[in-house]
Amino acid sequence: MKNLRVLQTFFQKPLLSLADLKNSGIALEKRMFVSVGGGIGSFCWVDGLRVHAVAQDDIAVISHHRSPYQQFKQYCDRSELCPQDRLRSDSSARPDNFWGFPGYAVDEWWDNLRTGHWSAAGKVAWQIFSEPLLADFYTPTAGRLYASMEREMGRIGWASMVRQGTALFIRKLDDQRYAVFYRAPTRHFHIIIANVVHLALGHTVKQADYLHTKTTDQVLSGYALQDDFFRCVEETHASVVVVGRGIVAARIIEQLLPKDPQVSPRSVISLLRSPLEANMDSRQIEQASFAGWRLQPFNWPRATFGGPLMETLQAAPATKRRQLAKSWSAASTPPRTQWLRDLKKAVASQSYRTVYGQIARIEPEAARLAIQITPASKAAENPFTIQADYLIDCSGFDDQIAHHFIYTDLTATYQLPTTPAGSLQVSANFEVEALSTPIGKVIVSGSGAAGNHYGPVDSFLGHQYAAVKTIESLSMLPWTKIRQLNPVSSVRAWLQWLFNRPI
Amino acid sequence: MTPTLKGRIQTRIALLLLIGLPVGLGFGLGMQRVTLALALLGFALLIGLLLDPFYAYLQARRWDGDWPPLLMLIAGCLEGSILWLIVEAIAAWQIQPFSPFFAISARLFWLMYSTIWFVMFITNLGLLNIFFPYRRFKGGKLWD
Repeated sequence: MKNLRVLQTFFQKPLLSLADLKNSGIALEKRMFVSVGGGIGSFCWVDGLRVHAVAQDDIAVISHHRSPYQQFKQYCDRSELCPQDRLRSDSSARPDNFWGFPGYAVDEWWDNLRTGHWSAAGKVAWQIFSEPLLADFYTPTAGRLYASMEREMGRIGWASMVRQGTALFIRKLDDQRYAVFYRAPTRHFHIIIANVVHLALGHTVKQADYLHTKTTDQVLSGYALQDDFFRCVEETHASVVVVGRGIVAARIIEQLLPKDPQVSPRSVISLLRSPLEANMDSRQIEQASFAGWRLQPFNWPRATFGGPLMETLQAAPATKRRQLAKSWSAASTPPRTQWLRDLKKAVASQSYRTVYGQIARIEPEAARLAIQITPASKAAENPFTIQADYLIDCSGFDDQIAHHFIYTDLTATYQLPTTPAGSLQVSANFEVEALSTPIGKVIVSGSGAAGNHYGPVDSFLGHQYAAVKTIESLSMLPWTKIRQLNPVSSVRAWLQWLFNRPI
Repeated sequence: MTPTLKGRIQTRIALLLLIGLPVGLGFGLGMQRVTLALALLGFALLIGLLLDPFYAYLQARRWDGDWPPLLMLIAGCLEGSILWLIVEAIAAWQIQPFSPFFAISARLFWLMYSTIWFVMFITNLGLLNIFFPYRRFKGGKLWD
């Protein structure tokens, strides 16, 4: 109780004295680097530091989970993406491999060769060579990601760096460092004093209003489906409305489409806010689409991850950036051949259709749902009702800054500038410059840095890009003792990774 | 990794020096015509550098702005064919002393060209990143 009162006092002050912290009775430790979040963003950042020879003892990670992929896996599991299912991610986007080589594709090809699965090995080799022109993009399975991260966790000593708990708030110290306050599962408070604070707090699932006000369990979130949901739909021939045009909606629809419409006479309806207008970006190139779905291999065009479009975005003024981001990262789904084939078949057999509009009201009607739709503004139709057995919301993730207490608290306490999109303004090196001191930096990566100079911040490659840029800037500060890799030290570190030598 | 024009040019020069030169010299020594091997490498570099802006333009016309391996192969075939046509033209026009200097059998030319191209292709796809880990986030650039 005493600690809680002390904590409240600290929370109210923007600048704290180190002596006060020491006298507070709250457990305190000092590290050079601390990462708050503990997910894949933290993992990529910490892995980058470890590859650049930063000692394990200099790093702490505040996390809810033991494993950095646990939250990600939870999202996948709940949207029925099992370990054997493929993610929407590039082969070289490997959180466990700083170099991106060999990518997951070469890994899988080699595993198939070793185990005598020649045809599978041939298929992967063909995909590597011919993607995306003659074959679908290679994408790794979720299980491969988990296993590779587990291996790297052991190599870099992740477990010893993790402090399990909930980060509470961050304050500047009078000695130009920062204090990160967190509560351990034992409910005790702790403080970590650090020179460099990295924030990668993830995102929250966007909850549509009707999910909050629902009175029936037939209205579901696509990120929290029960294990037996699809079996239940199959057995009861239930009709389902799916809201959203992103990857989760696409995957759910793929599983819902009846394999044989004669045997399973159910219908699947996509409810989309408005019909697709031709998505023509400033280059005057039109994005591919089908039946209301924008088709794009990854959530941003490939060249935004590290190529010419990344440079275009960096050079653009803030308003133009927003415009480009809107057209490049609008909800889309990969143009997978099998999925498109199934969808075309379902459209032809009328077991799948697309409806445009927004939900006005959902009412139970007998054992079903009557969903009142306000049509898309441009259509001159009257409101209409569709009937279904289930409604699944796949609106996606919410990147609004207001959902993360730590970000909003930092913004309010230190009057930090934000981007037009509402996220924290960061420099090209992902630093919150307004918080920088001669011996301290606060770094934000992942969805918290959305709307800045780099587009796909919330991707595996984006997390690694943030790590690279951060390390580049930290290596210029003598007190960090970080040195950038040269070809020789890079090969040496890569060989250590290849042979799984602990660092 | 999707290259920028600068990244393309730098990668091409680096690959030619690191891979093309030693492998080409090996062929030159084998043929006992080191200067011919060096001249062909020089021409190949020149053709590639002249075509790079064209490739960058085509790449920019793709929604994803990428340059997949199959397009690399097509570009490699195009550059090899242009080089072979130049060699053939010099031989056909009987320009002294260049015609005898550039005389090479089609089989040997394509063996040398495809070997060098393939090793450079594989290196570019990933091995180069082991030496230059930051280049994949810089459009393939090796230096600023």
